[in-house]
Amino acid sequence: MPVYSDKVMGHFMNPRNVGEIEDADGIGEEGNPVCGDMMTFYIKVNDSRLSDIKFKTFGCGAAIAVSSIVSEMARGKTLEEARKITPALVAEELQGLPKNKHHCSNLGAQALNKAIDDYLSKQGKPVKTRRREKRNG
Amino acid sequence: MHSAKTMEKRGFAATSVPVDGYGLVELDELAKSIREDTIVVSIMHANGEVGTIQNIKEIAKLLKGRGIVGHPDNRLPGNASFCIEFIEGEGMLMLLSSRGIAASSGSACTSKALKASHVLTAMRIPPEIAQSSLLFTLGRDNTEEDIEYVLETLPPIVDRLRQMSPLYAKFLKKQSGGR
Repeated sequence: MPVYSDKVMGHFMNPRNVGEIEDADGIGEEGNPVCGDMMTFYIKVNDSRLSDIKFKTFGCGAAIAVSSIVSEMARGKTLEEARKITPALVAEELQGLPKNKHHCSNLGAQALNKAIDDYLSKQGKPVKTRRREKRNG
Repeated sequence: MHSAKTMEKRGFAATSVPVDGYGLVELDELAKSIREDTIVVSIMHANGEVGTIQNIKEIAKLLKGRGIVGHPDNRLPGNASFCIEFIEGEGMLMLLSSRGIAASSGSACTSKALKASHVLTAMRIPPEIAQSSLLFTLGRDNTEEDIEYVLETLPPIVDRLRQMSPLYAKFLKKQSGGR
């Protein structure tokens, strides 16, 4: 097993915001069980702010910790602010991730962005194209 | 496997014989693979990862009188291998470890190369199910109480991870006739 930071262990052992939102305004799914990680984010949006966020994740300890911290980082943020949650910020917030687990932080940021895209497209608003994060895994 | 590859490099021909879903060597395939010039058949008698024990007796019958050396390799420690669907191996290992239980997994995430176990792959276990591989091995110091403890500890861990799993949620929806 890889050596994880205390912060990763804390979020893995006690993940925040696990679950689904029945009447979500946006849903974002990223990853693939065949590769070993899949994350689904559910968001509620009020006044352009993420008023609620929940996730379900299939994956390793890092994948679960990433989902949990992304949900904490994004909650209450405006959509614009939430867009700025990059894989690097996620890894930093978790006091680092083992080298071969960086793809988990990419997945977290991408799944959140997809949920925002889903919300925007449901609202009939233009979905911003964004720079694709390079995947490590 | 590495020995066979080395032999190939030295000019010998080697054939890998497939296994079935339980990891048993397919005897028909083995019989077909034996050639006039075959000199050795190497079988892992008991697999250290999934615990499959090969039918060495039947395999020996195939080789009898053909001038082929059988080479059964390895002996089985007390091990039990499972794939627990909808969750991933590393998460299970971490939670088990937090309760004092050491186990291992053939999932991609637990390997350095992020690749699922070649043993499970050879058994044609679908990759998403191989991610949930869990392996317990008994050592000489283990007691029956240890096994009882694992049996008590594992199910809540599985439940906990399944509650987080989008795959399990999808499975439940499908079961209840929904989408």
